[in-house]
Amino acid sequence: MRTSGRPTGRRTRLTAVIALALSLTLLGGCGRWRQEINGQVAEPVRLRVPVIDVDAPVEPLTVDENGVLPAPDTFDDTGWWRDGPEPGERGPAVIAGHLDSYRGPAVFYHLRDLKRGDTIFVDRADGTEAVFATDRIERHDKDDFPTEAVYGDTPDSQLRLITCGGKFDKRHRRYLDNVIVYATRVG
Amino acid sequence: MGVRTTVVSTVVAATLCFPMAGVAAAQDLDCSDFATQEAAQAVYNTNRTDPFDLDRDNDNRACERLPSGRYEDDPDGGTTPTKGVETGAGGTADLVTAGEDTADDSSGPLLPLGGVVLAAAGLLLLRRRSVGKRD
Repeated sequence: MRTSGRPTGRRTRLTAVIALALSLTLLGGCGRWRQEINGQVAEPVRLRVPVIDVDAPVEPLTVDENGVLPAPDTFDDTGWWRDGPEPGERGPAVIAGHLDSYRGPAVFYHLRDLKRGDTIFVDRADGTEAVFATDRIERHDKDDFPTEAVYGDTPDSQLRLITCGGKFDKRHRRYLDNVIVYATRVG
Repeated sequence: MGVRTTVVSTVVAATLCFPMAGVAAAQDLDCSDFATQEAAQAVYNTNRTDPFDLDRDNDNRACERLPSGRYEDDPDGGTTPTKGVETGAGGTADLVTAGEDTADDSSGPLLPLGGVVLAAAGLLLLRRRSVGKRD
């Protein structure tokens, strides 16, 4: 009796293995992008955030001699921290954009309206795209900027969107805070 | 479900995810399977006997006709910025300051408190003024 029971048990186990493997594969989503994370991907060329009507070019930004990331050249473009990871690679890719110009709203004016789960797309030079989901949004005094949280290495592929916020210092013509959106790659 | 079943399933799933790792030899690759020269070169470099004939002219450069990935010229690991980014010119300063309570902020509770103090001071001032009028 014991021997006759075995084949059935094995078959059940085999079925379980196959079923679990398939579901792990599907759940894990073994798309190409998971392999990209440990490699190098093409440069970002365009940022799209449909919920806040952002569809703007991305230009490279180089950190200045004071260790500060400059703002993009124009109020309509966004800028990407060139020395950091490209969006889609492992680590935090950083894209900055203006909150406003001298006259009115600029490209990241509505950034502070992003909510958890909102989708962010980055188009890249080779025609591929990386998709991110918003995790959280924070506002910090520029003099107490969370450098490690924004620029520090991460085990997965992350995106940070940065703009200005808070009170405007009229004498020095600058906002006192930065608004930071934290997002994680999902596709 | 037994631990063994779970482990075996995970391994099978991992193999499904990375088919190149296990069955690369069984699959024939052509230059058209790669987006960039660097990607083809990476595969070529793993096996210099060139089983897929990616380097037809035998100069150790695989699929030379493929475009180069621009990103190869842009290594990471440069200077990490400190401090914030100056991303505002002030054109909407009044609007932004008015709506600032919508964002998370550690100094949040102080703002309403300031408002209460201001309102109380205003009320006091008004009362004194009306008292003064009566005299």
